[in-house]
This record gives sequence, structure tokens and C-alpha cells, in this order.
Amino acid sequence: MDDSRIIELFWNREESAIAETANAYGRYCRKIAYNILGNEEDTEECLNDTWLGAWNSIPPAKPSCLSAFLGKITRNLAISRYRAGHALKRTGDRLSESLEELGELAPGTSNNVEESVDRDVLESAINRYLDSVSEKQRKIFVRRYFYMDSVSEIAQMYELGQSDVKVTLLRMRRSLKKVLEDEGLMI
Amino acid sequence: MNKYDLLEAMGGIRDEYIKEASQKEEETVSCSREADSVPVPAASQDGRSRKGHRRKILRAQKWAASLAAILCLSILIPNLSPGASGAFGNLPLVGPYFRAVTFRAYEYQDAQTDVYVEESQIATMTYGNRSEQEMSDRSVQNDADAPVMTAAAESVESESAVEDMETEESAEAEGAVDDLETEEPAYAEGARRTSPSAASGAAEDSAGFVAAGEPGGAAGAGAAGEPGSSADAGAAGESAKTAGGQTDVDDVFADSGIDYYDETAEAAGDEADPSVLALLSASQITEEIRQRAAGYIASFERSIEEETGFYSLRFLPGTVTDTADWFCMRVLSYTASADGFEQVTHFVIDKESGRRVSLADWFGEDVDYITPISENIKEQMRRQMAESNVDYWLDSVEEPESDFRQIREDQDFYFNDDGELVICFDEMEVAPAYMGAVEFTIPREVTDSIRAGGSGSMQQRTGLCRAAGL
Repeated sequence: MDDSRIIELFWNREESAIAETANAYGRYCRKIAYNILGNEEDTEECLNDTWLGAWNSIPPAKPSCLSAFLGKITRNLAISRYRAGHALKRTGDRLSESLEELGELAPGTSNNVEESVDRDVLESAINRYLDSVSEKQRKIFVRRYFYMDSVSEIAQMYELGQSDVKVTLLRMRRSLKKVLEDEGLMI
Repeated sequence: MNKYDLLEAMGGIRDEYIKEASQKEEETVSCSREADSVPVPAASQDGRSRKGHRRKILRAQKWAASLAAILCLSILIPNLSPGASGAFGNLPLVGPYFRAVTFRAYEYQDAQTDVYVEESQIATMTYGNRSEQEMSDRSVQNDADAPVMTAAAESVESESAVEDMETEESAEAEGAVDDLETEEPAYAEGARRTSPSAASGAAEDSAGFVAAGEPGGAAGAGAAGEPGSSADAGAAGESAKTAGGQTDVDDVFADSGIDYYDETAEAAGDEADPSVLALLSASQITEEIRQRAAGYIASFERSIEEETGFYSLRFLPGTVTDTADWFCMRVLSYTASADGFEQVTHFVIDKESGRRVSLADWFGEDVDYITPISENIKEQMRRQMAESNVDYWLDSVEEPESDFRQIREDQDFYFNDDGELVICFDEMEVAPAYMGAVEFTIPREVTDSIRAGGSGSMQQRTGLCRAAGL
């Protein structure tokens, strides 16, 4: 079933919308959740919360890209669950590794509200940065820091050497750091 | 801002970019889903503690599996029939070939520090230019041995790697936190021993695929040519049996007319057998990478004691080119305390001769390659600055004395997959820090023109010769 038909089911409040969404995007969302949470139980709960989140969001939302919409819901829920410590087992290595890499850009550990950065501003800066890089670099970056794929998975997916992926990510983190510094976001 | 802010902000990446990156999802999702459905063992799930801790140096469990796979292919293909092995022997440019296995050697993480160091073991195997009859004779002999060699290689994968993995996991579970309490010399020593000797030993006995840099292998570049090193080199010679159309290494040494035990690659001369030189080249590079990694690790551990602190360190070796003509390794190192610094180093081997190559070697003696290459790089810099938002230290108004003038005689370089020369610069060598390490591909017409005016001092292939059909 295509995305427009699924969205129509949501708008018509037909419960089959959930089943169709799970059928179409279950694997996709499961991978995102598992990459972050690292265990089956939390992943399953996260998926259920995703379908509920979609049901509560559509309408009024009418996403133009359903996969990205669902992926973001899953990702946000998974990260929240991870941070809240509700994972039954300790998280897998992928999120930890990504966090440590991002720590090169943002070494602060404080959760002081005064030192927080406006989320919209930060997101805009990241998107402007991604606008400026090549498609290959952008894909590698998104797979790593949105989808939380491992370096080996990214290398396999794009038929690159792991060394190439690591070097690309390293250089992109450095150039993104420069962008954030120039925009005064490195607090 | 902290890393969680960034992590969550990544959720705001544009939908089009998320979809763009998901377009290959379907191709890999079946594999991923199967992997995802397998519960991850608790030991592997053990995330890094927020406290500083060091992980034990990981055994190169993948070394054995990769080597076994390579060995199976390398041995079986030429041994399928006399015709196949003969065809291999008669390939005009078949010579030494190399495989680099990269593995994680050192890690350290705490709230403020993140260190990740890899090393590479480079193994080499050689098919010399033998007569068809000799290849045929040898392949008949090896056909009988092939199943045994294959089984030996498989046993390396199934027994040694699994055993190493189980040993490593239990050791990690028990000792990861205790590593903080171990004395540095013991840990540092352990950090260098990263390849399972059992795996490399089995590989040598079974197929002569010599793991350069290993005890019992070529034992590092220093072994050859150093006084008192003949024992080690002798062991290397004795243990490195070969197969698949090759002679024993001792036979190679005898054929080459050089005394392997006492001579370095440089002293071996132009007549040295490529298999010998390939072994030495691989050994040298493996050892240099190991020493560089050890140097970075030592500096970092000193900084921990002195509380000056690296902030972040990455040491990442990898194969950048592996064609019929060239084998090129790259090592990227990035260190950051208050600021970051990126450095790249390349190692280049000419496969036909087995030798490591410098710019002077490739262009020939008394050839001015520096001027034309430097001028070409300046042209590229100017073009890039005009066409895109990049900066190079060139044609500066404020600080012309800092401008790029010419490459060094020993400028870092490699050859890309198309056989073109690529000149490399470390961060801040020719551009501001934000540009990082940069590189420039020199067009073939430029390098061919330079080489046409020089005389090669070593056995080389040239674009002009190929173009002329020679």
C-alpha cells in the first residue's frame, strides 16, 4: 500500500492504518529503534509507541514523506527511552559510539538551561551544513547520526571501505564544528 | 550545548535527506533484520562506563577469518587446474600482492577523552613470472595439497578465531575495569601484541601467506639487515613456505642471488626478486604503522599521567589503493586538545617490483618533478578558490610569506585507482585548519611529461610506454 493510501486511512480514523503502517515500515522503524536501544523488549515497546504516536499525529499532520515522519517519531522515542534509563539492558554500542563522536563537537556535559541551545536554531545549522556537502558525505552522515548505523554497516551499504567511512565522518564532524562555532552555537 | 543536544537535533534533519539516505535500506534490511532479531549477548552490550576505563587490546579475531578467506581464494583459484595456474603465471604484470587487515588496537574513553587507535597487518603473497611448465608442474603437486591447505585455513577461522573471541570476551568481562589498576608496562606491552601468533603460524605453514611483522614472519623491517637479526630472518625464511605456483622462500632467495638475511630492500638491488622485496616492503610498512600507533599511545598515556590530556585521538590506517600496479596504505591521525590537527601518511608499493616507492624513485634521478607538480597544484588551488568556497594559502595579500610555494622532495603521495599521482598535505600545510588535510590529483599529462624527460632508476611502468604499446 502506498503512503498516500496509508495517510488516508489515518485521516479516516480506520484502525487498519496501524497494521498497514507496521507492514510497510515495521522493519525500517525497528532498525532505528534497535540501533539506539539495543534490545528486543525496548524496541518492541518503542515501535508500539511509534504507531500510537503516528495515530495521534495524523491528522492534523499530513506528512509528505511518511518514512521520514515515522523514522523521526521512532528515533525521538528511542532516545527518550534511552535517556530515561528505561532500557532493560544497557544500550548497545552504536548509540554510545555516536554520542562519543558527537562529543567532539559538544564536549559540555552540563544540562544547565542557560547553556542550552535553541533546538530549532541548531537543527537549521545542521541542515545548512548538510546542504553544503556532497550527497555521498550527506548519506554517510545521516546513516551514522540519524539512523545510528555502525561504520561497518555504512561501509557495506555504500560499498566503501570502513576506513573511508571513518575518515569521512571525522572530517565532517570537524567541519560541522567549525560551522557551529561560526554561528555562535558552541556554548 | 552537550552531545545529547546534538543527538536530538539530528532528528531535525530534513526529510529529503533522511529519505535520500534510506534509499538503500531495502537492499540491506533483510540482512539487518536477521541480525537485529538475534539477541545481543550481555557481554557485548556492556556499554562504556562513564568512568574512564581502558579496554584490553582486542585480539585480531577477524584477522584469522579474513586471512582464511583470502588464502582459500588465493590458493584454490590457481590450483583448480594446470591451465588456471599457468594462466596466473603468464599474466604479464602478476607479481606480489598484498592484503591489509586492520584491527582495533587501543581504546580509552571517559567523560572528556576519546581515544581510538587501529593498526594494520599487511600480508603478502607472490606469484612470480614462472615458466608455464614450471607452473604446471607445481600446480599438479599443489592440487593434492590444496584440500589440506584449505582445511588448515578453515581451521584457523573456526578454531582460532572462535577461541580468541571467547577468550577475549571472558577476559573483557572479568578484567575491563581492573585494567585501570594494571601497571603501564604490562598494558603497553599487551597493546603491541595484537595478532594471534597461532593464526599467523598456521597460515604460514599452510600456505606461505606471510604475515609481515609477526614473529616467525618477516619479523619487521628491522630484521633484515640488522646485525644479529639473522636468526629471526632465518626463522622467517624457514617458516614461510609458499604455494600456488611459488617456490619456497629459500628457493626464491637462492634464485635471486642475494643474501636475504643480511640485506635490506635498498641493498638488494634491482635484480632482487619481487617476492623478496614485497615481503620486506610489507614488513616495513606494518612496522612503521605499529611504531606510529605506539608513539601516539605512549604520548596519550603520558598526557594522562601529567594531566595535560588529549581530548580526542584517532589513528586510522586503511588501504586506499589496490590495483594491478599499486598497493597504497593510508594512515590518518587526528589529535585534538584545545584544537585539532589532522595528519595523513601514505605508503606506496610498486607491485611489479615489490618495492616501496618515493617520488624521486618514480620520476627518476635528476628529474625536477617539484616545480611542475607545484605549479599544477597552484593552478588547481586558484581554480577551486574561484569556483567554490575554499581557502588556500596562495596569492595572499596579508601574509604572502605563508603562501604555498612548492611541494617537498618527500611530499606525501599515493596513486589512485586510475593510476594517477595524488599529492597530499597535512592540515595547515597549505590551507587553514578548517580545510583539514587536503590532496590534489596530478593529471597524467603532467606526470607523463615529467617522466618523459627523466631516466628511471628502477623497474617501472610508465604511461608513455603503455600509450606507445610497449
